[in-house]
Amino acid sequence: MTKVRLRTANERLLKGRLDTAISQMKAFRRELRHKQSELQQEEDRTKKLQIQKGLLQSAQRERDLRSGEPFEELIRLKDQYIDKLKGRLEDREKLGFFTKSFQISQIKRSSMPLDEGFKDIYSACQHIPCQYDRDRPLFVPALDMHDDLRILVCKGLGIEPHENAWAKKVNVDFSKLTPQAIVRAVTTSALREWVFEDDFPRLHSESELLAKYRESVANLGMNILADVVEVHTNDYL
Amino acid sequence: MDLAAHSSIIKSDLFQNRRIPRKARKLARRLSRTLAPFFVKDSNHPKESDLYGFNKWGQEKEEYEERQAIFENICTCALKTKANSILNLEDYQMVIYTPGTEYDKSTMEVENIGGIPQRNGNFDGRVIWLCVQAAVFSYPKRELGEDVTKFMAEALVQSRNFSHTGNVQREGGKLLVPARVILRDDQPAVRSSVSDTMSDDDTSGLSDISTPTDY
Repeated sequence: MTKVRLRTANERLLKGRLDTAISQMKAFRRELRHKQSELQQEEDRTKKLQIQKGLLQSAQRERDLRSGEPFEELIRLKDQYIDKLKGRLEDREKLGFFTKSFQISQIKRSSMPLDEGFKDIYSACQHIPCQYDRDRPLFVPALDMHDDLRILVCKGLGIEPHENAWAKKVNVDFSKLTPQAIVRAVTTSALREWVFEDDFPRLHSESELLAKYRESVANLGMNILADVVEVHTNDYL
Repeated sequence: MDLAAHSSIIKSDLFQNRRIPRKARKLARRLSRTLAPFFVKDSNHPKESDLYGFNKWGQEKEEYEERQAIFENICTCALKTKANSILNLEDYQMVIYTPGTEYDKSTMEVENIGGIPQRNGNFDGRVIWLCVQAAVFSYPKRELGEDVTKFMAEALVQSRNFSHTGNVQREGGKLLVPARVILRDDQPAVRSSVSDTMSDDDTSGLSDISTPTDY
């Protein structure tokens, strides 16, 4: 190439820009070649994977043909059966709570906070205002004149209130106790007698619908039990 | 199914907010009337009751109304607790230990005669003077009986789920709430003018109950 002598500053400037553009083009070409080679490698890898996939699929088809159905389907079915069995086991345990005919499960403990209820009751009992003073002394009543009180006191003291000698067995001197202690003790006895050991709430006696419903449940249950007993009897015989 | 039906009724607004409060008011009146002989001489006198039959014990309106509210609260709490208990799959027992029973730290808490809990102290070997709060035990549901015809009746929800075994604790129970007891040999309370204020008539039938026999 013939070297041209650059005469003007303009020519020198243009020459510089041209050189820069040429070097950039060379860099782009190098990058293009690099990308092309990477693309080629990816294409090769894809081809290999496709071949492997084809091989796996043909192997899977052959396996399914031999076993009868796909393993994946078998696994799905197995999971379904496990879920179903879990559900049935839960139902069976719940049923066990009611019938106790077949003792397969341990009785679970109470879920209702009964102890909290009692703590509330006792706490409230401690706040019953029953102050006494000269104007309002604490009396020691004749229990035989107050039936409700006699029964509560006797039962609280473990004495049968209807036996003849109950009076001889009442060995607590109320006059030596505080009114609060007496009131709490009698209240406890009252709650035991009138609420907790009573037939409360006895809903079926008030709702005809519930009574009929319970009857149906009982009849249904009895029929099942009768079948079970018959089967067991036949087995035994 | 029976349990679900009971649960639905017990949790209903009608049962919780109408039936229980109504029964609680009745029980509160009965309790006030029953306890009245300790506080008024003539507890059956009509003047001792307000318009609704709540025995006033000779207290001022403000006092007896406060007491009435507390009694009703106690009874409401008790009725709700009992109603909820039948939904549980357990039986229960309230044990009121009789005077003379030996102290048992596993089932009892001690308080002094003034009602102050005594948590630190060795009470072994001492005996109960008065049990002011019952111990509560739970038991697994009983096995069904031998009678096949009663199986279902026994398996259905039963309102009588607190055993009537007197004051003797059954075996195999789990303690839910300990008893609160006052032990003998505790300092006696300051005596009120009990016998001083009583007339001769009032002492009838008292000979057996006002004489301390065991301590």
